[in-house]
Amino acid sequence: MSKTKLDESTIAFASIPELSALLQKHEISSSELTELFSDRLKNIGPKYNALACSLEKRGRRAAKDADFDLKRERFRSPLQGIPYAAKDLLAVADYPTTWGAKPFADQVFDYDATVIARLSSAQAILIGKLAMVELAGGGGYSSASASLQGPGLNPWNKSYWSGGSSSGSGIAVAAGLVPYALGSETSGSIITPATYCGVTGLRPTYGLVSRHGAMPLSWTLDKIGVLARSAEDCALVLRHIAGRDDDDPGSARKSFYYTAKYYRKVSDFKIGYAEIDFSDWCAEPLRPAFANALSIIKSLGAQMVETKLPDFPYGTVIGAIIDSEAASIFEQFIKGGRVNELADQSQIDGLKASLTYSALDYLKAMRVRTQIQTAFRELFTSVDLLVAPAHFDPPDRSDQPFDESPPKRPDRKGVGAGLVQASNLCGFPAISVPCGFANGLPIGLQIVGPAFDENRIIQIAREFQSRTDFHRQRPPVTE
Amino acid sequence: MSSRPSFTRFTRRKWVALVAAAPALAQVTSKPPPQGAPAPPVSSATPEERAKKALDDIHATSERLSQIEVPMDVEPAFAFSALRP
Repeated sequence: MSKTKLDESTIAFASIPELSALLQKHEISSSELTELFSDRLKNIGPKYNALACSLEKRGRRAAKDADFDLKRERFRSPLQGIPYAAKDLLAVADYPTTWGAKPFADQVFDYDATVIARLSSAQAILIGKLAMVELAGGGGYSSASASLQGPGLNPWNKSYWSGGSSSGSGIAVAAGLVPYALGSETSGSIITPATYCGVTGLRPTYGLVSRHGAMPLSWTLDKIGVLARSAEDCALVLRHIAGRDDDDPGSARKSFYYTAKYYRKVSDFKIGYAEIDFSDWCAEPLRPAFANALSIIKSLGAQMVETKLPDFPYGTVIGAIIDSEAASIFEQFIKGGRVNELADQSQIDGLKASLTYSALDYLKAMRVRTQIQTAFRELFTSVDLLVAPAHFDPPDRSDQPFDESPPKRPDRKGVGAGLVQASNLCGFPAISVPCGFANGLPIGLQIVGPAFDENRIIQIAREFQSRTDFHRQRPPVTE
Repeated sequence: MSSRPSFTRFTRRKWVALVAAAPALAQVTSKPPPQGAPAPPVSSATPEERAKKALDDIHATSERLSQIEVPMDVEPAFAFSALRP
């Protein structure tokens, strides 16, 4: 990127390595970047209900420090001096952390979540907190309006939902309001908004990234991850947020190193997939784009292995676990009546009803989960990773209740149906990459790998993105 | 992380306690609705019908789970660890 091309729209959609290069060559300062992105976040963010809280002042102070070091060529990380924003489920000292819910609108913590502290150590610049579905959707919600900021509006077409629960994170990256954002996933909350907004979303292995300072919804399922412009950007951020944390009992005490230099040949990979996922399982208008995406995957040169998921009732099992753990976490909130202040009636009813789950149901679900893990261990002896459409349908409309009538699907299952739930139950990492458009809205592929094998899924995602430009497309966003 | 003073260190158990205490901590503000936000969809069902449906969903889940046969030696997917004093 030459100096003459440094206009706002170019910078707003630049990758992390591009921004880092500009900073290190002193072609732009961290303070200038912070001002540019803060203005976009404040001016454009509310138009899509993406902004929970601007942290511009905090960002300006941090940018000044970063500029001080950059000027003296003290390079601390590829994220140094680059702005980002975080889902409002993460604690940031002395600023509201609302969890997207009215009953917590004025909640303030006196410490930073571990991921925020880690990014501060890398001299990344936090400039805002992003809208989310209230309580990350625990209890089940019936429309996009289930958020303190209102429905997340899709930057590609405001009539459609952005996806959730990391709604603001998907919108902010897609609309060029930040180069990357932190999100979280219990079951689909990174993959869904990344797909619907047309950005890259990385959900790490359970335990790789600390959840300390994040709202708990399900102790055994919650993960913190990244939404960014590309697989490489996700990897650069993951490198800095992953690692042991004694404040998180679920910490795997492992680190992540982005080892692109040592990637094996793509032809050595065995990719598990199912043809039917890319045809009959997809909604009709999405099929041509998914067929094209599959042909690109096949052209990468990996060994394609037709496979199918082990047969388990993934939705039932993950539903019982999330509901039971959320009921325990929010027990006093529900029983005390504050639950009635939530925006979404289904969520209120669901949380109240979840108090009736029996210990027997929870333990049964957790024992079936063990069987699922065993079945997937076997599956990953025959393939290295799994690829499927991230969603078979386009997003729901943003101004109407979600369509609950199940679409007609084939009897035969492939890999995609249940993969989000199954891979979350097993704690596996996944990445969602934009792979085309249907009716002007982005669609995405999900790539799932074995636990702690983030480099494997990132490599295939990078390979896919080196041959496509779907991740470089920009939505028609104006101030 | 280690530079944080001990009084700001929260374990996830403390988080749970915090959630439980939230009604005392949080004050509800009467913020205006966000710009462009449609009103939350209104269900035509009565509160009793909605509550019954939510409970029925859980009973259905419970029923589905009870039909799955799991061998006795399969333990739940979490592990208890004894802590050293």
